[in-house]
Amino acid sequence: MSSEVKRREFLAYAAALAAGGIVGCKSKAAPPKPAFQGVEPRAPGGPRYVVQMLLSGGHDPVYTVDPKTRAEVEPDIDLPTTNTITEAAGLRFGEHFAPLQKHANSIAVLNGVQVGTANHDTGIKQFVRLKTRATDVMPGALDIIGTARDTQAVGTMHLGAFMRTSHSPKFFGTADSFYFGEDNIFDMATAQKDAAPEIAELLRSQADQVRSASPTTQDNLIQVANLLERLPAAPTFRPSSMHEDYIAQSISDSLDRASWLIANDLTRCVFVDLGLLGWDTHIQNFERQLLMNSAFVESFSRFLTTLKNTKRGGSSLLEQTLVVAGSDLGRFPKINAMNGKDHLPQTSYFFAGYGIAGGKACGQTDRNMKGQRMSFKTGTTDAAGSIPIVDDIGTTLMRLCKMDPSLYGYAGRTLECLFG
Amino acid sequence: MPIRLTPLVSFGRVSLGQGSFARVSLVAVSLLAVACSGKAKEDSDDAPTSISVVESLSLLAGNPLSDEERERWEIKLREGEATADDFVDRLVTDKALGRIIAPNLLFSPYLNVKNYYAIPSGYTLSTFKSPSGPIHYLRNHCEPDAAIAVAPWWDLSTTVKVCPDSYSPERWSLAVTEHSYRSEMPLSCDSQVGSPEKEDKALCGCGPNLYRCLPDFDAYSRMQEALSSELRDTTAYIVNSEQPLKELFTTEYSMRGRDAEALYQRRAISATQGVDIKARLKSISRWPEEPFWGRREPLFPGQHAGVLTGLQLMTWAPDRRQRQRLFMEVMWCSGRDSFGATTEKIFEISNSPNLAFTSDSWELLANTEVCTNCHARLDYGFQFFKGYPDARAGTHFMETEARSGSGPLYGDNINDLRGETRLTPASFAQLATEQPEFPECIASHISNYVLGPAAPKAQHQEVLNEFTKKGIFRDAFRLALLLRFKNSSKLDKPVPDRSEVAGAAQTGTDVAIDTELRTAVDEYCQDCHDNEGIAFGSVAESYGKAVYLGESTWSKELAVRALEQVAYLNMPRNDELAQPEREALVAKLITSIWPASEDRKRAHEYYSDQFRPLPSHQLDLALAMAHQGLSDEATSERAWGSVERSIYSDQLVISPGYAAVVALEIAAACTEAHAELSDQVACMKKRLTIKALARLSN
Repeated sequence: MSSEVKRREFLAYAAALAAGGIVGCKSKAAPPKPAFQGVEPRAPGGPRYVVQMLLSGGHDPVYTVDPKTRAEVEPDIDLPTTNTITEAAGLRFGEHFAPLQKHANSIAVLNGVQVGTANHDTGIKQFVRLKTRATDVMPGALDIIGTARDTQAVGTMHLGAFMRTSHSPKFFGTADSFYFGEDNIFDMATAQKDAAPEIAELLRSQADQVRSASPTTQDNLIQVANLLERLPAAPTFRPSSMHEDYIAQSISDSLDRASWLIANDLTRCVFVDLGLLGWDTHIQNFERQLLMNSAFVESFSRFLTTLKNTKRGGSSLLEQTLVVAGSDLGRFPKINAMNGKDHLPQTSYFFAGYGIAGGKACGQTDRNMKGQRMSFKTGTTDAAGSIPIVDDIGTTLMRLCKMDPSLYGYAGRTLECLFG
Repeated sequence: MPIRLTPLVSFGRVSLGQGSFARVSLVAVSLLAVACSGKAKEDSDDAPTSISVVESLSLLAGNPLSDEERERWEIKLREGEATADDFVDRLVTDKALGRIIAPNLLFSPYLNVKNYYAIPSGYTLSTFKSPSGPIHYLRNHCEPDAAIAVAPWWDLSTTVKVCPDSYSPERWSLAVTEHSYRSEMPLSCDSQVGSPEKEDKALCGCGPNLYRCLPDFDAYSRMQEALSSELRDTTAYIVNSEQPLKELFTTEYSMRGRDAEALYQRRAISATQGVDIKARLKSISRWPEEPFWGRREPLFPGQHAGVLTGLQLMTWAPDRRQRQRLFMEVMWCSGRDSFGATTEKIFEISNSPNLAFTSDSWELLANTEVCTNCHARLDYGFQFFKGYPDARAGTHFMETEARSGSGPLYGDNINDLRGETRLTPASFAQLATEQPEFPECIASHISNYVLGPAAPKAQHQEVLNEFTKKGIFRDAFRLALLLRFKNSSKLDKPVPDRSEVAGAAQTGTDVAIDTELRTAVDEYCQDCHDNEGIAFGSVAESYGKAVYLGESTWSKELAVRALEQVAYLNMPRNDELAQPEREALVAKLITSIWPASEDRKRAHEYYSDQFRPLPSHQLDLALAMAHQGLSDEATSERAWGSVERSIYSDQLVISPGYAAVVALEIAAACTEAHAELSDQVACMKKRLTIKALARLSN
């Protein structure tokens, strides 16, 4: 995207924000109803909030969470030229993730995860569901967790969706404004806040119509009603960062929006789709990973700090929130003719917050960056163990949320090494 | 108000493709609207409390009837003055079928998502003021005296000033060494790579007559619209003129307005490096502003293949393999899934398995086990389109890159040769549309959209048979609508009582395979999961391998994995398992795995119901319905950033996101149309109903 287009879109975006919306309501409506209404929520267990972050395209582990010294890898494995490795609280950060060292006590890492595909569509579909051989119509992992909610208005909000493979039967959220269009439900709900009580009431009445024929439709309509009622009472969302670069700004906005949703108890789960496949660095791997990682680290660090500093009910929001971050696939460890790195069906994940052992690194890669068998209990290399796969992360997530993984198609193993 | 089925009228005669059935009772589709009240006439107590099949079908055909016309049809049908055939004919002959329904049904993911590569945004000019007038530039200002006067392509009768580094009239391509995009492919100036987007130094400029550039961001937006309009309008033309749908993928013609023609001429100028540039630019102003059915000039025989080589689809995906996957998806509905890759396999194949950027490793992929299931079809397939470069590196056809001779087209894998033909887009499209996957794909979109996937298999087959006869979209759609009439009395699917499924109570973590389950497993699974299968240890260890299923007890992990694969249609492969049998097998597995009724209930929510909400209308149709009767043009003014727009319309459901967008559009439409609160509320009540959202009731 040219800087001119970026600037213009950005100005239009800023103007829309300043105007507080796009369409005005011509008359006043009844005051909003404050009470939460909806289907009887299941008692949530585990974390009060869950956030899943997709670094789409495939982050490069050697710059992020699986750095290597030259002595640790074969000569043809590509490493950063400067290759500064930062060690903090038992973790090793590659040079692009070094600023995260201040959060090392809250972060755990899982390296060498097999994703079973070298294709973005499939990888993203799997990432959303946290299982291999996922299909388009399978609910996402957060859709499942979002069925159990407390006072939150909705189960799961998706932010910045880019690929349709991230769509699921309970999809609720925003899509990238360049590719899909600039008008989103948050701005429109603000613009229509006077009409919100009526819309919510109508949605509930329609939900009642389909109660027995389609409980999922009923729940979906009630979630919308809840959100439209609750949004006007929430403080105005204000993005904290202004970037020239469109993608950097969208990463920043999405993570700010995620913490805003949590701080206002609007959703139990947030799925954040970051980067518009910008981590897919077939060309100029170093420069483009740097661009993406810098934008991410700045916003992610702010996200963690915000949650850490916000207390509710005697603990910080970070302690109440489970964060899972990773990519759809990984990068081939050797450089190609375009100074880029191609696809690899193996990647790294990192975790923070509720139930996570901060400073823990699970899973190792060998001298060729190939994932090793590991003990799921200790996270150390173990020839009698297994290589972690995406299904193991989904299974572990369900366990942390006190849900029976098998009821939702998870047949992986629990990564106890991550537990704090 | 509970869901109910309300008989309203009955038909005199209904004629169907496979026979006729007399006096079919016309019943209301079971989804109801709330009773309305309010001052506005449209929102009187007379507002409908149920949606009739007349209304339901009109919405499916993209042609929501006014209350008056709906009532007229209901009376005519009730009185025997018209038949269902008459009514369906009225619906399918309306232009909306081709203009709204068909394009979204066939191309949603690519029609409604902006094309990034077709028009490099970096070639949108900016302007600064100078004492001698405005000066255009791409990257940076220049000294006003250095600016060059150029007759721009958008108005050859005038001149504008442009900075020298933004002009570069002699420049057509880039050397690999001068750009970071180190591809072995030729790099063209008319591409994203050639544009200033990724480079901070001037490599290419706007070219002669600034033909690569757009004067401002408004022009950029207009050109973007032209890309999708060509796809939409060409589809509408083929469908509404009742041409065989294969024409959509094979014709040299397209329906396009002047902006789209300008983009074709721009590509021709790049391809010929400016030969006859004046004549080409002048020809743009002679092209009709409004869409016109016109031939696309081939610079190479067989260069054009319908919408495949149209402006939107050809450059929608960046690299050739992704592009080919798009083609196979829209023509064959062949999946985009790629399962089974392992780190070991990737290391084995190549030290640097480039995605056909720089090497011919595609042949290796296409012939490698597991990989061949996609790559034989895709990688041999993209050889037919080799003249069209990676969209990042060039946007015009390059004859020098095109392959000569003939090449194969594969289906499921390297052992599934479908034929050989000339290595041109046109020959490819001809051969691909002759394969059975083509009619199966189109017919499945139609029948899933109109009838729903749960409709009897025989009805899906009827729609396929109808489409196969002549390949006419409208014929198949018409039959599907008539079958929907037939089904309308059965739309209320009873909630199954799942407590009655028998199964042994489980006590441990193992799952006993009783006789009934064994019979089913042997029948549906044994072909692959026989004695040669591996013993199941974990999902990770068995990934991509056939597991032995002959044991009398399974681990819970194996049973859960098997259950999910069956429930979500991944298994059995080469699916011949009809939906009722599949549901029965899923229910049996659930009962066998979980002894507790609460667990079974939860399991059914996930495995049987799949958290699946009701199917929804096409989003744009629902948005238009929000405005119906409120304004002259029933369309939304908003550019909804809604990912639902990219979902094929036969797969769209009432997700919370979909419901929120429609609800907010209705609120906006009503508050814009009415000043009084009571009128606004009445307006919303009339519109925000399940019928405004749901396409099918089950």
